[in-house]
Amino acid sequence: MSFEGDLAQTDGVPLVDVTIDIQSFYRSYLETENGGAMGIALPVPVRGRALIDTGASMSCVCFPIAEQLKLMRIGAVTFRGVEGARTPNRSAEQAPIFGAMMQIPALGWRNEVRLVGVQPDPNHIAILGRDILSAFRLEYNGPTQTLRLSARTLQRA
Amino acid sequence: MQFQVEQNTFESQRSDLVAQHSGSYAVVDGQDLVGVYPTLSDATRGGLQTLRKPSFFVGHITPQRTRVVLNGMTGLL
Repeated sequence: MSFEGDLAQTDGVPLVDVTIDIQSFYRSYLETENGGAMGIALPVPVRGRALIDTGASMSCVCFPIAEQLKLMRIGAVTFRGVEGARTPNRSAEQAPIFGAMMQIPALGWRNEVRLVGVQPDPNHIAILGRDILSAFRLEYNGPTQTLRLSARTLQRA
Repeated sequence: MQFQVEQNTFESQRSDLVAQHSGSYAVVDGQDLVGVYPTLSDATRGGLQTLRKPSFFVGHITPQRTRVVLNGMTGLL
């Protein structure tokens, strides 16, 4: 399966539709009496666009989506400016790590993932980093303004 | 920082965990190692079933902390 996007419609920004949800076992747990005691209402999966960012080593979710879904918090990371980068004076920033179920419908891909919480962006709800992109072949064709994301095929000897 | 105690607990046991469970995931609550699981999904499921709360630390058992690069910033996971 593969996804083909028209970059002319997104000003050249590589985007793909994704669905973010809580894990199936978490949903099942919330439906039980014990889960109900936690006082957490069952969230509705969120569908939106994800930015394809090969410069990000890890995938991300925007905070409003994480809060809306009540995603599980399973870690944290402290970021500091990269030496020599454009933002050398940025102070340390702490970000939570969420556990979530992510789906890329066009590719039939669905997996449980760890996502870094990031500030919201009006153009996307998530960022696909190299941890997820490593499962796919990505072709950004500037001259034809097309984006192609497809399942990686193994080379046979 | 959230999970600082758990991160310290995980780091103090990292070498032992790598020796026995490299590539697996550990669930840590405070100073207690709750369990070791083969996959992220197993770890979050196991942590939820054991701790009965939706917020707990899951560490990937690797020889070193994973470097995360994002938007011109870098951190260690």
